[in-house]
Amino acid sequence: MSAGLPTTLISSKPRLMPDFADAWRHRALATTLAWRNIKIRYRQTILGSLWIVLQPLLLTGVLTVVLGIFLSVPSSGLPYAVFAFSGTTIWSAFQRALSDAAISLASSGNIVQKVYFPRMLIPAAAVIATVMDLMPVYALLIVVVAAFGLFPGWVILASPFFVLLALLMAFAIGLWMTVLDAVFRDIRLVTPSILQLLLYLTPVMYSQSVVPARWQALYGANPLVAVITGFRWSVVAGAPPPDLIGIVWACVFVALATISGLMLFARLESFAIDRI
Amino acid sequence: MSDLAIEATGLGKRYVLGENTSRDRFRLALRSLLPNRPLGGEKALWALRDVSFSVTQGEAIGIIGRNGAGKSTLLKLLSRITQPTEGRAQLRGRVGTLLEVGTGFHPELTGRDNIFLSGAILGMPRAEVARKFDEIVAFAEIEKFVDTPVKRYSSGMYVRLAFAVASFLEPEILIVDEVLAVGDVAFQRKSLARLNDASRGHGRTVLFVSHNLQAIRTFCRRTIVLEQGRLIFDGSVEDGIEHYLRALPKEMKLRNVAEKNRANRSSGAAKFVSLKSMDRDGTGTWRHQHGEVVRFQFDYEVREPIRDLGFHFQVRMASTDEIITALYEVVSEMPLTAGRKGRVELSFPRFPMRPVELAIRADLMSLDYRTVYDTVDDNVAMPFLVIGSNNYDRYFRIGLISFDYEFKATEVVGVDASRDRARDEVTK
Repeated sequence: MSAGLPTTLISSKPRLMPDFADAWRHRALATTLAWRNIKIRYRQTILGSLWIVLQPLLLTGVLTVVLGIFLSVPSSGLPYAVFAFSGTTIWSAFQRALSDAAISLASSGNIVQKVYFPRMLIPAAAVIATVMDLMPVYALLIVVVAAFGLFPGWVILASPFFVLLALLMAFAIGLWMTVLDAVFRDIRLVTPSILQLLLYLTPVMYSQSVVPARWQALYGANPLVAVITGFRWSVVAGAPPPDLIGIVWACVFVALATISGLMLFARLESFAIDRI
Repeated sequence: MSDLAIEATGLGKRYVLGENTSRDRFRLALRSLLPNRPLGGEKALWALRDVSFSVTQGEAIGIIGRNGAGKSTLLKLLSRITQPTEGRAQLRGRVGTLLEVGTGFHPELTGRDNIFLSGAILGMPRAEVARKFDEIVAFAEIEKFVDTPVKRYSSGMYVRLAFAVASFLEPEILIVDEVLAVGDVAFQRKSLARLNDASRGHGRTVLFVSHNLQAIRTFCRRTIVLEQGRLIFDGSVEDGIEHYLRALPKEMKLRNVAEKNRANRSSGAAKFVSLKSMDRDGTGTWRHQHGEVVRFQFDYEVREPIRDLGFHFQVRMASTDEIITALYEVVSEMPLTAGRKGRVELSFPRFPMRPVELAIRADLMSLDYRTVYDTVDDNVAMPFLVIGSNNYDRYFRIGLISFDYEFKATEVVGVDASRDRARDEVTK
């Protein structure tokens, strides 16, 4: 008589991977949570979501003045402002996605300890919220690029791929960090420093060409390098293309990080939630 | 039998105690990564152990037990909020959990936003929430405030809205923990009626934890009694309640009970060290009979010098928290030095309450009411007082209390004659 009803099995055995079918059934919750994150972030603000656009714009402005004008940092032959804006657009999406995902589980303690839903959706929602943040910035970037006469043409269709790669990377690393952060809050304290170091190690504000030849291989080991170079190439005409090996490496890295992140999450989520 | 909704086998949950340092946690976290290595060596507490039972579809089961018996842990395991340390359970059907009202509410969001958010968290598709939106708002009686952030709600509105959202969920299995202890009486009644409807009317399976034995009695047909993490009874409601009441301690030694919980509400200059509820013969019991002698005996100890000492006593409805009566008596108008001990005795010669569960609270305080020295009540695991009666008159069951009254019925003879006389007088 109970045919057709979903069956839930509760067991002491830890899972190898999160329950994807269950997560899929709850998929609407991921966007609802993301939308809540956004709404809460801009509550009681005057400019509201305008801040989303202002943040990378201000960063671009400072970079352009200090690095572009004062220091004349090489920018692959592009106007420095365009170079920096395209870089900060994708960088700030990655940065926000990762830092929000990293603290997401511990910050949801009050919900997570009162009701069950696939916990994987919590870091996922943090990343999805970033997509919503990215949209207006991305639109503005296209306008700026076009104003400089550097609209890339059809190549722009490749840009979502790089955005996806960057966000998946943030999600994968975020899975690692958030489950550890729930147990050891050290994680949230070191995240900003790590991100800051990473910013200097990726071609956001300077061209990869400034890196000496013998350091290039090591530099390219940072999977974000290909992602950022690729994104810039796909949105600005005349930007140098990413090298294929770099992109393959970024994809392999994302795959490995995602699989290991999901396994770690499945293994530790219950342990972590009992200890938030 | 194919219509089992829940089948639990050997469920157990162990919490590791004293892992307060980060190093302990680090070690445990590493260990939990290794496959099939049981955690051991540390001080552990089994919050629940070896619990097996099965529930048929459409059953409403009440789970009772004292504080710390493992009721909440059981519900948390079944609703997948936490993972068991051993054992397994199989649940057939969507599971809705209501462990605390307002789960997932965000104070900054409006009532409308929270309805959708909370619905989504509880597993309701957006379209379903939208369809029931008006009903939810009407049930919660918050029509005018739908677009106000819930942080501006009164606590009553908040609770009503939260319960409304949850109660419009339509899962096959509903897990409810003590949520009815909040809100005003009228709303509680409405909520209970709704749960009843879900179970009896729509054949949903309900697991219901409550201290409110009356609610369990009216709502459930079967109870599970937990004690110290073990299932000690599974069967009819009356027998279950009997089991639960028998397991209550006859006398409470308060020396070490919840010192921390008491300390943050009171100064601790004087403390209750034991309390006892007794019948006419001085036998300790928490079950009393309507109309019989009910006696209390409190022993106290003065810890720091105090100017004077007063005793305050309060009786509340366990189900609704309404205060039925309170009394205040002087224990000592003289200063008391540390180390003094004493006893307060209180006796009700003919206890007027009809069958009901009562929550008792007693305080030691200064005579100017300014300083509370100690408070004991159900927060420090004081059992409820259970009043029973042998009176099966159905009219007796209506109402909470018996007043002393006098009643006289006289048959008046010659009624017609006197009425005629009165008419005569008027016409004259």
